[in-house]
Amino acid sequence: MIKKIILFVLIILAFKSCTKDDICPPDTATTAKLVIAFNDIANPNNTKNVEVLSVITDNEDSLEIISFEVTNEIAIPLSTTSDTTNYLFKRSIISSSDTINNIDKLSFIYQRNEEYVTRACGFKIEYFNLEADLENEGTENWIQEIIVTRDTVNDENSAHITLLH
Amino acid sequence: MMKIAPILLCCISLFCGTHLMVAQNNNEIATDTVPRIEKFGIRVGVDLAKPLRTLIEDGYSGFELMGDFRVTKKFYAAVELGNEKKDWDEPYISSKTSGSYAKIGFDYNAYENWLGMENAITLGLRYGFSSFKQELLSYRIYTDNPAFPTETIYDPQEFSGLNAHWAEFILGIKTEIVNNLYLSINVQLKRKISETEPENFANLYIPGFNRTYDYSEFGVGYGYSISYLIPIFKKTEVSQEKPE
Repeated sequence: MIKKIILFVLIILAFKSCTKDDICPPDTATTAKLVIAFNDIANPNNTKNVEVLSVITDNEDSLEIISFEVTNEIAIPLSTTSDTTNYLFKRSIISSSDTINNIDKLSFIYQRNEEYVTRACGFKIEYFNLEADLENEGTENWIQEIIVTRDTVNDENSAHITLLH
Repeated sequence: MMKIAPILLCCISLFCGTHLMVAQNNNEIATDTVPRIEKFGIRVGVDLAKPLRTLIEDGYSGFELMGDFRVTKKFYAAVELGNEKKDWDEPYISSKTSGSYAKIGFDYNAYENWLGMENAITLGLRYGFSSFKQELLSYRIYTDNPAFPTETIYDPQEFSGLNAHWAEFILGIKTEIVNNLYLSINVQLKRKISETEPENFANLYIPGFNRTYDYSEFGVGYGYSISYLIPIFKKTEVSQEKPE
């Protein structure tokens, strides 16, 4: 009896010291990305693909987030350390002979809130009072109108911003 | 290594105990007239594992006092009082918890002793209560995106006046190593009943309860202690055992 119990105790202690390290599971809702939908300027309720779209961060070490994609919805990260995130939205019309690039500058302005997630994932950012600002180039802009549909970025379920083009 | 040493010690003392029992059995002729002297009273003790961890583990300090009292032949009222400080570091969070706790409940001795022996295999239940404070030392915003790397934010925040309640199941072995002196080892399974959570943070560690888990209300723990029985009462009773 005593030996069985000792064995039981040893087994429990062995398992206790082997509990696996906490890692942040990939499906945990951490900082949400900004979801942008592209709709038709002629018919704002209809989606319209951008041919071909690239999205690049507009800062010192510019990084390509979206690279030459034909798409009508994208999700891009916002800065967790600043209240403004600047992006370059590049539309490339590629023909057999030439590639015509049109770059529009977009700024996303918001306020940030830090929220605790879990011990393994730390904290996340909730963005609120979201606004989008397009640098006006007159007729040179390929993005024609910006509609903010949801001004709180806390999930990626549907578009926060719709761009008409 | 630090965990093995106390277990070994306890095992050794237990085996010595059993050998002693066997020897005694051989020499003794069991008759129904052998008087059995039972002593009982208040048993007080300290946890040995916690001071040991205080010495060798960085970011931990703690102690625990315990006492039990025999209520009936098999049941003991039991209480543990303790204090713990613990640093908790995760890749994205670093925190410090400190506070005191009390556990009250009972132990049931499931072990049938040989004549005159005072060993025990105990099954116990406790109600645990802890009052503590927690400090969030630093944290990071989680990101898996290389475009906007995050940095650790050092902005200490203190959350005081926190408390937690839990229920605890204890499985333990006690053995009398010398007269009235007991060594015991136990494992504990706990389940949180309620807790006050700090605003926009969580209790990563609760004194007495041990670490918490993100998706579970359960906790585990262990104890290794030495205790002394103050024999207040002595009772002589005639053995019930029938000779074979």
